[in-house]
Amino acid sequence: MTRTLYVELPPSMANYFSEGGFTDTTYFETRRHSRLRCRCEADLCIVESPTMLVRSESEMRVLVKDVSKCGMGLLVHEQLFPEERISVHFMGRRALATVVRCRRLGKRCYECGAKLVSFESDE
Amino acid sequence: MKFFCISLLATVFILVSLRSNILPKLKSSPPKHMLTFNNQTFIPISLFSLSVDSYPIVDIYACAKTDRRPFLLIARNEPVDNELLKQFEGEGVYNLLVTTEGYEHFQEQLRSNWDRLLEDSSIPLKTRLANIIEISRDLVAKAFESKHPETLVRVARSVSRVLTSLINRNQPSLRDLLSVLRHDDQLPSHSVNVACFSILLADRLGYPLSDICKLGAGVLLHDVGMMEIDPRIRKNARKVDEFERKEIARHPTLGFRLLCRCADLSRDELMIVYQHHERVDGKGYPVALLESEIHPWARLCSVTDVFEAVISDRPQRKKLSVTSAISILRRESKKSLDSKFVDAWINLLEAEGIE
Repeated sequence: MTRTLYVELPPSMANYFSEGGFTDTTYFETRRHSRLRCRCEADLCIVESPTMLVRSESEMRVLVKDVSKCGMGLLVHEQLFPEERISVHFMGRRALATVVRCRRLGKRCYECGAKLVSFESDE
Repeated sequence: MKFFCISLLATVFILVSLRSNILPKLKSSPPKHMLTFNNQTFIPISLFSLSVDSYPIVDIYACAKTDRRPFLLIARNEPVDNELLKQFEGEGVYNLLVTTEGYEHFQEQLRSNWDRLLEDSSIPLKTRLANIIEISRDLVAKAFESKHPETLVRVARSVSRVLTSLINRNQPSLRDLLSVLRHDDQLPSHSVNVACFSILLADRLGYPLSDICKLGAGVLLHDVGMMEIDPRIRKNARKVDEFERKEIARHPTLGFRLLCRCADLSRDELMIVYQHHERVDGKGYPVALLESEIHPWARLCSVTDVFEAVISDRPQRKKLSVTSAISILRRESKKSLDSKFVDAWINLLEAEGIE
């Protein structure tokens, strides 16, 4: 079953799907690996949350923003919290990751950074 | 003869200088931080914490105004001169000193009075507040050092319960509270101060007692993530650069990560830790949430947190007056802070004529 995508891209991301290549980095960033833009829809499932965080839904349609050797960036319509374990299914692959940061970009748009735990092909 | 006159004049000058150095010793200035002198480290204690036990079991020192050299004020097991304490209070000196070795014994003596301090209304409220805050600060400091989530939550809960009970039952004035809190740049002092302010504000706003207790525990833990930040950045006395600012901005997330696996902690308490730097205009961190998206307890905490930060010494600057803090809160209530809580807090301050 395909879920509805509720993410609303802010005006600054009007060219979201036409962008590609590696993302720019800044002097103060402490990233170890370069990030490759990978713009597609994905199914996200929250596998595990801290007990006190009760969620109304655990499965949602999201946008993949970029991927690197150790992590991935996502756009989600609701806030995710650090330490939440997520499973992201996209382009025939399943990534298991832990949320490390989340920032609101606009209405129904949160940018989440997640650290990869495993990355497997569907076959 | 000429040499003799010069020597005589020099001697007189030295004697006069010495006298002027000795006299101000009586007018001690309040030490704000740990103080090291002759390889001996001293820790500040509240003046009011001496009033319960007439015979302190450790040496109590005061700090000379001129050269900040500590001198013995009350020897161990000697009676406390209440007149002397009143004299210090009259001069606005609220802190004395004990050595680091004596501090643990001093805390034990304070803790032995814990129940009496809560129940015995014959002890002046200010004294009870000072003692309980002194003990709380020590307990919080030790829990912070442990960095153990269960210990942190347990200590925060029990300290909050005591502070809530004391404030709710006795309704201390904000002026009393301000006089017994220690406004230094130490993390445990800041946490206890913000918790006291938040509990008082929530109490005056009519929050249920069980909620105030939880709110107090969350506020006590609000900056726990700071323990994970490099102390060289945390205690940096110069203006922070972009990298350091980003590092400091990680503390709500680090606090959240430390505590989120703790089954005892409620979502409300955890949101204070995670969202106390969110601002209603969406310019806060870590998420940049807007108004109602921020938990109300985190919005309340951000008001008392800003107030406490402004009226306390920081590595980069000296503390500002309450008047300056009020004008900063007023300015921010139109932009980044919740105006409902800012107004309530300013009304409390103004009702008591605190400036």
